[in-house]
Amino acid sequence: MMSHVAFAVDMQALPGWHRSMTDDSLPVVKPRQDERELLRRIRQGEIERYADLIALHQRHVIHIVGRRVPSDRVAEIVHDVFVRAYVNLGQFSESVPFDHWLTGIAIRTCYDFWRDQARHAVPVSSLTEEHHRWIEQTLSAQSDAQFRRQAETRDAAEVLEWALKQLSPENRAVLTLVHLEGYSVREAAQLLGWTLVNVKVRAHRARRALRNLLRHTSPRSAS
Amino acid sequence: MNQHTDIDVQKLERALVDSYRSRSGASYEVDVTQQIMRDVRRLDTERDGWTPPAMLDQLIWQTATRAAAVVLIAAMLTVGLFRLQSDGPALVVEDFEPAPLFEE
Repeated sequence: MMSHVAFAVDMQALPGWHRSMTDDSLPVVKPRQDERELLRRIRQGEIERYADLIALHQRHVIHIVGRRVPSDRVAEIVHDVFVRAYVNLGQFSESVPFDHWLTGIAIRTCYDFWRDQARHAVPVSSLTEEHHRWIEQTLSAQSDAQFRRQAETRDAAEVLEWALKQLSPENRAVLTLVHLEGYSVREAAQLLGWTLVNVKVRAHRARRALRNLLRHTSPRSAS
Repeated sequence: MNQHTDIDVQKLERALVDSYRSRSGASYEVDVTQQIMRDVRRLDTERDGWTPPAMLDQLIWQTATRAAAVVLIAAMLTVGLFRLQSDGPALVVEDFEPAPLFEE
C-alpha cells in the first residue's frame, strides 16, 4: 500500500490535481490589467468584447465541465456557464480573480445539471463483468506500478463514474471538489456558495457513501 | 453476503482517486463562442426592450409620490381652513362672553 505522503506528492504533478491553497482563505489576486479593462468595456455596453473574454477562459471552463458532465453535454453546459456569467457580470466584485469567480459558476452549473438529472431519475446501470474484474485485479495488485496501471485504465474511470452517479448531486459535488480535486473545505464552500459547516458535513457523508458503495462491489455480495 | 474489508475499500478508493487525477481531461474540440454571443446579444436586446417598462415604472412611482404630496398638502390646507372657519365664531363668542349685553 502506498503511503499517503508519497501519494500526495505524486499527485501534485498530475493534471487533475488542484494545488490546495495553504492560506486560510482564497488568495486575493486582482485580475490582469487587460482583463480588467475588458471587463470594464463589456460592462459599459461593448458586448462584442465578451467574445474576447470567452476566448481567454473557454479552455479553463471546458476543463472543469469536461470532468464533471457526460462528454455529449459538455458544449451545452459550457455555453450555460458563459451565459450565466454574462447575466451576473454586475455581481463580479474583482475582489477575487475572474477565473476563480467563473470556476464557481462552472461548478454550480454542473451541480445544477446533476440535480436536474436526479429529478428525472435516470437509472444507473450496474457494474459489468469487466468492472468486477478490474476491482479484483486492483485489489490483488502486487506493486505500486501495477496499482497505478490499474488506476489509469478505462474501467477505473467507469467504476468511478458509476459510483458518482449513485451519490446525491450534493454529495457528488462535494466529493469531486474535496476528495478528488483536493480543494480545501473552505475553498469548496466558496466555490459552491454553501456554508463551511454544510460542506464539512457533506464531505464526511459523501466519503462514507462512496465507501459504502465500494464495500458492496464484491461480485459475491450481489448474490 | 460478502463485503470488501476496510483495507480493500481504502485501496479501491485510492485507485479511483488516482484514476480521476490521472485523467488529463479529454481534449474537447468545443467552441461555443458563436452560440454564446448570439444569446448574449439576444439577452442584451431583451434588456433594452425592458427599458420602457422600467422607465414607466419609474414614472408611475414619481407621479404617485407627487400626487400623494399634493393630496397631503391639500388635506393640511383644508383642515387648516376648516379650523379657521370653526374657530372664528368661537372667538367671537369668547369676545362677547365676558361682557353680557344686559346686566341685571
